[in-house]
Amino acid sequence: MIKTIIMSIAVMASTTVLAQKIYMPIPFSAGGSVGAMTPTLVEELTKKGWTVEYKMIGSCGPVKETFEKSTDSVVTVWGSSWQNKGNTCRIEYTPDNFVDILQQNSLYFCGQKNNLDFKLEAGKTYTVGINTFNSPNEIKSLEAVASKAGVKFKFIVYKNSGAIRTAYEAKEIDTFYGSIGLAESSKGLVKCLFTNADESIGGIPNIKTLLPNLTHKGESFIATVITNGKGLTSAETARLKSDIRNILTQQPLNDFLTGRYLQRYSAEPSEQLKFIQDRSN
Amino acid sequence: MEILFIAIFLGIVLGLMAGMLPAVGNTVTMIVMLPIISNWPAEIIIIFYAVLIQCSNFTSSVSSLNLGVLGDITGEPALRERSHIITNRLTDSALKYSAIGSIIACGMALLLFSVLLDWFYAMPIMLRSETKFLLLWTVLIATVWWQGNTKLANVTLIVVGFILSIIGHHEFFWNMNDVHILTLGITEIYGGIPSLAVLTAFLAVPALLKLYHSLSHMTSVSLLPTTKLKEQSYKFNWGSSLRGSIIGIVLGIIPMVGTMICSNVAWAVEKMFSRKRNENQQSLNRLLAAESANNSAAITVLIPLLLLGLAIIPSEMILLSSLETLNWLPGKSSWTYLGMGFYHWMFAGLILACAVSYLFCYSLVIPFSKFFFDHMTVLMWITILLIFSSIYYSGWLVDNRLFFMLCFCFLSCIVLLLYKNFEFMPLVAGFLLGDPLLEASRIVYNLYF
Repeated sequence: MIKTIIMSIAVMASTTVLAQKIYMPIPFSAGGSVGAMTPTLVEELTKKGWTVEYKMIGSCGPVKETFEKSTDSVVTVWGSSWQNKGNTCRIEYTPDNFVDILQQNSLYFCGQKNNLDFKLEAGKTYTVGINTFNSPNEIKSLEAVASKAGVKFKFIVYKNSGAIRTAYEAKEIDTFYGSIGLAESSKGLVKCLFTNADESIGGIPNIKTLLPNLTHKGESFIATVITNGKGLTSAETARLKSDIRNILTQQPLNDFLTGRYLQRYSAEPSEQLKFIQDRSN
Repeated sequence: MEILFIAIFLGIVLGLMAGMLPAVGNTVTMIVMLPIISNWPAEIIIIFYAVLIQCSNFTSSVSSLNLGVLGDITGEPALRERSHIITNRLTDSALKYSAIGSIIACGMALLLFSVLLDWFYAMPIMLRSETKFLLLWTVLIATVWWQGNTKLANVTLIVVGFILSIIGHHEFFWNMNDVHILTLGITEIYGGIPSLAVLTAFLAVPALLKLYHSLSHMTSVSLLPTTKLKEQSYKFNWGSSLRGSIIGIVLGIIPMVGTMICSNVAWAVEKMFSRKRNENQQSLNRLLAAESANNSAAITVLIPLLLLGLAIIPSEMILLSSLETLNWLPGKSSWTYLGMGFYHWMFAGLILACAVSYLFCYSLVIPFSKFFFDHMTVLMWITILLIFSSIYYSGWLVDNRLFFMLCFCFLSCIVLLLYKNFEFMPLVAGFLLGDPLLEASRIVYNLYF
């Protein structure tokens, strides 16, 4: 009898331990904001009783294959740039796999260094430095700006924000678009316009001061957290999603986002899902 | 941040060893260390590398002088002077002046380094993609003249390396579209051919094969005699040291020249300056100039990397492949630790490296060199084991062990068939420079067309 009880407890314990394990392959490289943020997410999940096997893979293909084919529980972070139509790494977000938005950009449209009288002159073509991790919506935002201003934009894609900063320092590009505008603007050497909402943020004028009739907002998301929902019961999946959402709304990840001029769209998951579906191609 | 001190310590120890061990050198040392250093912050990896190459330049000549064994290839001029130095009992002076010349060269280069960097930073044109595009092409074209192969062979190897580098999934490759190049639908290849597998197969494997062959021909170590006869004293020639230092500072910046060529050029130039002196002084002056050149070049070789992210010698290319995984960008660094910035720590590390290397070369190098030589076979097998472990570990980090090992084994088989006929450095250059060149080309094209 005692043996039976002990064995039952052991089976329950092992089942519980196995059920608590999740695999988290990250398709980003170690040096970016996602690579810097996810170890903290893993640490916080571990504190909540999850066993997380974490790997920085650096490539979307293998992670997508694992996400779709693995029978174990997989949680990963997916990039907005992969949501372009036709991208082989595209994953359709659904209410089942969507967990939360990890990071958003505050987006600033900025001129050249030391040109504080930056304006867009109709009929001209401007080079715009953008990041490879920009979402489809950011391109749409820029096209809306170009249309309203009567100008043409030639997009020059750089591999990350630092490369855009170097190009800006070298005056290689006429304008740039991205989150680094806040940091550069604070040095007083560049004129930037905030594009995410209707108001001005952080003392930076809204783009509507340049283009009053502009209606398209430059909201975007860099990355979302998704799960394949396998290897766990429905209750465990719900708990996992709830734990991740709690972690993302609290310290220390909040401090991390603020320090890097990033945001999170705070809303119910269904609203967030609609937000990113509207901003994907 | 104790990693910083570990990095400096390891850089000194491994640099001293790399200079003494035949066929190992900085490139193989960097390859073996890649999986470990890839977890460090980018600035600390650079400091580690700077200290490593500086220390290896101290010991490379000492191993050549003492044992008649070429450690790092920068020790060639020392090997050339060895028989004259032995015959004429110039050992003490040779060792002492080499070490002093190295310290002077290091100091000169460090002083000029900060001036040169500030000057470059003040010129926006140096930061532009067009500059990077031109310099990358310059490095690749210079590689066509790499010794050991015909020019046609070098071009072919560069093209093969370039193709290997672009295999994979590229986002925003052209006109905002993503592209798959030779991935054959295999998701493991999306991330490209692993750099470590390519570098290890085409650099470390040939080096170890050559070491294996040379070991079978080495029967004993011919140590310099510990003579009781008093050596005649010769002057330390400041002119030779300064000439060598300047040659190293200037040539060190030129792509694909590196410390080896600098030391040989300084040796040849010094031959013209020392003709009026007696032969013993001439020999010492030539050695002094060569040693000064390779130590000063070991510092200025960092300038294109720190300024433009441009690697101009093989070991630097390996360093850069590691930095790029951390999204490191060249330019002014805002990294600080204990109130000191990145360049302050690099200077401190280099000064410490020079001091330790000087003391080591003066007192401990003979017993260490003999120990390494006596245990060379064991060290070779340990290196091979470390290489296999590095590749397996790198694959484990990204959950792709089998693919990493298969790539390495396949490429090594190709090397085994061809290493006697080809030097593979042009292939490695094509591989490491292919991706940055493609990116620079894309940006320049989009800017102008």
